[in-house]
Amino acid sequence: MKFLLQLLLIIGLGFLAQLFFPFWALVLAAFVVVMLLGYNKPFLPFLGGLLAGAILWGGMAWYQNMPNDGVLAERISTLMGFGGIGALLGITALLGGLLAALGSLSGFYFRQLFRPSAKAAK
Amino acid sequence: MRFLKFIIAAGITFGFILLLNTYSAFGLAQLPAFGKWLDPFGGFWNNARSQEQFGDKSFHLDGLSAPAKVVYDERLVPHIFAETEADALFVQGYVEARHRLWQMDLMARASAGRLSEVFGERTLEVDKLQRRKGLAHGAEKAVTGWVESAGDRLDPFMKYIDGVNAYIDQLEEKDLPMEFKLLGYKPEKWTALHTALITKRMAQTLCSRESDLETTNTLRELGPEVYALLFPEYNPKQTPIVPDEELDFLSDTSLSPAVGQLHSPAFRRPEPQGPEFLGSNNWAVAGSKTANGYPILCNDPHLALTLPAIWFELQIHTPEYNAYGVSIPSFPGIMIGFNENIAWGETNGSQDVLDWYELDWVDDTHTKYRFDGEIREVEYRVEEIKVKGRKTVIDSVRYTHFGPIVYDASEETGQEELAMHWIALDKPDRFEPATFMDLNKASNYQEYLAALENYISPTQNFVFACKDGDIAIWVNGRLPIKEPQEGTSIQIANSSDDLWNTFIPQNELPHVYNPASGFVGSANQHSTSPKYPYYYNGHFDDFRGRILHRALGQMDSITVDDMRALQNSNYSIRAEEGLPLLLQNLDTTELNTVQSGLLKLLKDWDYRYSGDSRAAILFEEWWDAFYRRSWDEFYTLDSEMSMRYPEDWRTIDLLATDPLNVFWDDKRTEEREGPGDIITLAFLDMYENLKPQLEKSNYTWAQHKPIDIMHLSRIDALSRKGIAVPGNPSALNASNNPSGPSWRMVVELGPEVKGYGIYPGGQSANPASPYYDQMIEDWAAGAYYELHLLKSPEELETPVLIQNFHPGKGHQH
Repeated sequence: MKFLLQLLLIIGLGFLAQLFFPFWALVLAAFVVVMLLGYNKPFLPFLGGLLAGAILWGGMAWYQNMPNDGVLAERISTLMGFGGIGALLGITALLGGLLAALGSLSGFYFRQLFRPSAKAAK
Repeated sequence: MRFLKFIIAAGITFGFILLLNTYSAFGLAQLPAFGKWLDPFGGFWNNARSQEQFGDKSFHLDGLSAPAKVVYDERLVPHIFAETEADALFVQGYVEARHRLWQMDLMARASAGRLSEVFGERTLEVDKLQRRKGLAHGAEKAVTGWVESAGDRLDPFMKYIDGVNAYIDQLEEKDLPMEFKLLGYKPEKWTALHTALITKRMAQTLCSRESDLETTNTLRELGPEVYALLFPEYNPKQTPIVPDEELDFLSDTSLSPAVGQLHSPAFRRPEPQGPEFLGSNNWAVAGSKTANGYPILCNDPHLALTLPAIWFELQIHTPEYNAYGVSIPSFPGIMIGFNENIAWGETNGSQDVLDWYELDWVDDTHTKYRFDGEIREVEYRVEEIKVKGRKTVIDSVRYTHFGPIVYDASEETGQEELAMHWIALDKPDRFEPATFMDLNKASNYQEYLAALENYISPTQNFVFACKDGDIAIWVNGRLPIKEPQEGTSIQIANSSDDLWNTFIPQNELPHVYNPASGFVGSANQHSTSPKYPYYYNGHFDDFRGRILHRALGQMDSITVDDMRALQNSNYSIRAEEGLPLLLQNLDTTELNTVQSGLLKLLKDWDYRYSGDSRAAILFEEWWDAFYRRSWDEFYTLDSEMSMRYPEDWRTIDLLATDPLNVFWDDKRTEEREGPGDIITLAFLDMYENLKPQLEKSNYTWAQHKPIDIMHLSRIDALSRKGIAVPGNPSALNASNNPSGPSWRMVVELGPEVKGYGIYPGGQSANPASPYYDQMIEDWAAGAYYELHLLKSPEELETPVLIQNFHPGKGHQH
């Protein structure tokens, strides 16, 4: 449940932030979301960030690409030496995923700083 | 421990962001900043959302005096409706920046020698040479000269600049043209200097060509007699722009021939000159020769073909005038086009207006030289070339009163330093931009003449037709009065008496007005025969002018279709005169069956470089092989110094009249050959070279010489390569990779003027746009579009985009 919430929040907050700020806004969005949600282990927030970022960037790229029938993407994928639009979308999604995943991970460890430690609890 | 984990995670994240935010990461100059570039919100993906598809937009812009409206037609041609000329030009600036901003930025950069700022080290040498030639210095002088001489024409001109900036100012980073994102920079504020830089760039393309170094070497190697035999300046078969019988406007002038000087050192041009873009045609036929009784005007300027194209099509409508045509973005008004009363167009004049001088240095420091009996000091201009990813390169360029010292001395060849005087860089005393602004409004011959008087450089053949029946052509621009042969080779000039310092008076420039023949036309050929009393030299074409005058002389009851066919004509006088000579000298006794088959094809050829012709391939390759074998001496010498090569027309002439001369001998062989021997050998060369291609039965001329229309960045993925087109430089359809007809226009004047036109490219510079390159196929097929000279915006039934402009503080909704 928390995982799904993380996904939705990163996508939503990331989308809003990126309307006004450059690409690193996605990292901040993921950071804030994971910090607020709180996790015990780093793996889930990382995976959630990866998925959310990939969905946001891949989806947005696909949406931007639609009205011109992929003409530009075709040219850019040739320019960058990729095999086609699919690869270009994939790279874009992966990059978005990595950004959000790293933001999430940093958010997770940041929150850990303030978690009462086992020793202190005793 | 937790702290350490956080620091590591945050550090990796931060480092990753930094990496993705950096251009030329790992020192690789060609890499974009991947984060910015791939970001679907602000990167290139955002450019895919092609903005011209969005219907109706409103803008409030500071600088307009009244509301203006732009409707875009089915090819994204903007039709600008404004209340005043100044408003119209403001909107033109806005609209051209909207569709062509990166192209404008790049052209200005290329001219100023500022490419390395954005491309890095790979363009450094190009920039250095450009700084040496001093185009930026010339552009600065141009702006000063324009401001001093513009009077009240300055305001509408500056409004265009304001319009460009109005667009730049509201541009958000995410909406930058894709090329800015790829290279990682932002457009700078547009100024009159940027526009002036682009005029200098055009001048460089059109009127910086000369062969002074080559002529100097060739004259020295061959001696004056052989030189005169191989390089006569004028082809007596030529039909000049001004026929002899029309040379009746001149005063008497007498000139003393200059004494030719022989130089001892061998000169080498450090960089090859760009390809010779000769190919432009324009003409006008009088009503007496047309089917509907009104003049028809045609123009097809040939230039290097690029994406985005050099031209941008538009209409400008104000209560005062209504004009349609093409402009070069960065320049207010329409350069080639028509209005309700007149039509006009240009071809290049090709006169040599760039000369090289050796200096009489006082000492080895090469900072002082003797001139007019006194000692003069050079002035320094420090050129700072910023290079992306590297430290700034400084070059101090020495200026003499001739101009900058462009070429350095070389101990290897004994070459001296050379100073350049190029008319295009002199400070103008006229407001040149007014030429086109005023032509747009002109309604008769007198107003056309008045507009031309503002013009200085590059020299152009301005053709004109008016619905009242007048036709005319003027070779217009500033042309120095030279002594014969002056400026054909490098000069040693120690006093102003040795130099040209006066100009042909405006009213004695070559021109034709309503000639008895009923037509005027130019195709980069000589302006006049040597009967014209002012000497001039240059790079003139020798075949197209002749076919143009021959064709127009024979035609009657001319229609628009006839004119379109003539612009697309592939007929060549070079082939008509050259092929029979090759055939009659060919030894056919030892040809095999395949070779005899090729010979048959050649004998049946109609001298047309049609797309489906095979004979055209054979003739071109045969001629080429023959030329190389004939002039082998030149190729040998060229390894030591820059040489001038005999022209094709002269080669044909000599083949017909001087078959016994020793220069036909191929010096690389032991035998003494005559023309027959080398023509036969060349035939076999041709056969060997073409054997693999000719085995494909569908291999034709259009596939043999395709055209590549390259994006200005020279990135293949944004270019259109391998476009099959017919034509040859010796035919009116002078397509020859990478140049070709950059705009074809036919205008029929009359109560309702009718225009037809096309250019290879599209109105939008956005590679995502359907209007990026959509005209190329129709252009290659020789088709035309009907041009809509609207009377009101409502006349356009389904505009693809409407822009409403209102005076006010800049915002958009």
